[in-house]
Amino acid sequence: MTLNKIELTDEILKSAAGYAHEKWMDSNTASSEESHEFPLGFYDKILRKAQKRKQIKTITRHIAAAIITIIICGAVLLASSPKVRALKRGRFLEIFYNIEYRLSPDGDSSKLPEFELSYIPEGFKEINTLNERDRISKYYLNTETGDSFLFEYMQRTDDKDITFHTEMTSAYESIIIGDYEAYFYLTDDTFDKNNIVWFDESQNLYFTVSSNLEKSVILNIAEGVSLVDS
Amino acid sequence: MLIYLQMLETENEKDKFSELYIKYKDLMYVIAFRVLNNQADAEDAVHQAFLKIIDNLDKIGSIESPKTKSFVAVICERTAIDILRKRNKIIEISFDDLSEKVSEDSPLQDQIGEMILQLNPTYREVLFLHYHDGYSEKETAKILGISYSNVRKIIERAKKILKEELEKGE
Repeated sequence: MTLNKIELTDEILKSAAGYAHEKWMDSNTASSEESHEFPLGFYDKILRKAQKRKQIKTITRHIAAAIITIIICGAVLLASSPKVRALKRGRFLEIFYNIEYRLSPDGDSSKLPEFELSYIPEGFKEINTLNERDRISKYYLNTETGDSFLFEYMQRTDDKDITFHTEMTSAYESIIIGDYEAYFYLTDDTFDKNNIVWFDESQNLYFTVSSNLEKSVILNIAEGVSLVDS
Repeated sequence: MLIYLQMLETENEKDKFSELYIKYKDLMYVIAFRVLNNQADAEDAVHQAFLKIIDNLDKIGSIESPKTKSFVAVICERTAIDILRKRNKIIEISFDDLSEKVSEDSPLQDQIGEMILQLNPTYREVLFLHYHDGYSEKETAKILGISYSNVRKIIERAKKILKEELEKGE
């Protein structure tokens, strides 16, 4: 019989393991016929230790459950609190180059509210308006100086992302516009524009004013955004 | 109701454990002593092995069954070896008294069985649990406290060793 050609199949190994196991157990069993005198309280000590380990495991499970609860509560807070979300965005601003905003899909897309500017810098006139289902863009131009600004607001109800390219942004700061925390992005590129953006979380509205005008003028424009009474 | 059931289950487990203790404590001591060669250490190993058995009570069916006996024995030997290993002692467990020179006319299974007795204890335990007691590779890993991938490697290596030994003896 050429053994090297024999495959060690599971059946052969089962049988061989059975043979070895029987010898191993017989040897142990034969030697264990004499009873060993364990120390007094040996059995109770095992039970006490087991109980203690069970308690530790239970406490560990409770701690784990508490941590998970905290994480879930934190996530819910992030999702539900405009202030916390704003803070979260603020942190992202420090980390990423392009900012991606995601508006939650629970708004009403059929009724995009109408907003107007109560402050328009002298010499500017609205020369173009783009009116879409979920976005209104108003373009203002000073024909004498050639300066312009864009006031735009949009509503997102489909959970789409709004990407805000900040490659040319040299600095940003968080400021308050009315009841909202806004972000002012200051560009150092002469061909780009400064931007101020803010959100109305309750209506899923995103506002922006873009212009190469001075910051103070842009802030005045932003502060003058008001809802038109229907 | 739930609390009542939980308590009942605990009582059942307690009874089960009590039976296991009475039935196997001496066998476990012998196994542990064979590895550690010291009474106090062997008792320590039995103590720790019983704690592991409590953790695996759900895997134990009938107290009297050969499978339970094997399970308890393997866990105890593994625990004793772990104690020895922690003390950085060289593990030499001789089974010369068990191993016999098997004639070439003996069945192949017996020849391989003798070789299994000479294997490293971890290899032997894995083969016993998997091939003799019928535990899956995953269950074997859990019982021995090693990873699943380790169990698979051990089985492959054991097969290779056994095959090489067979070829040598040819």
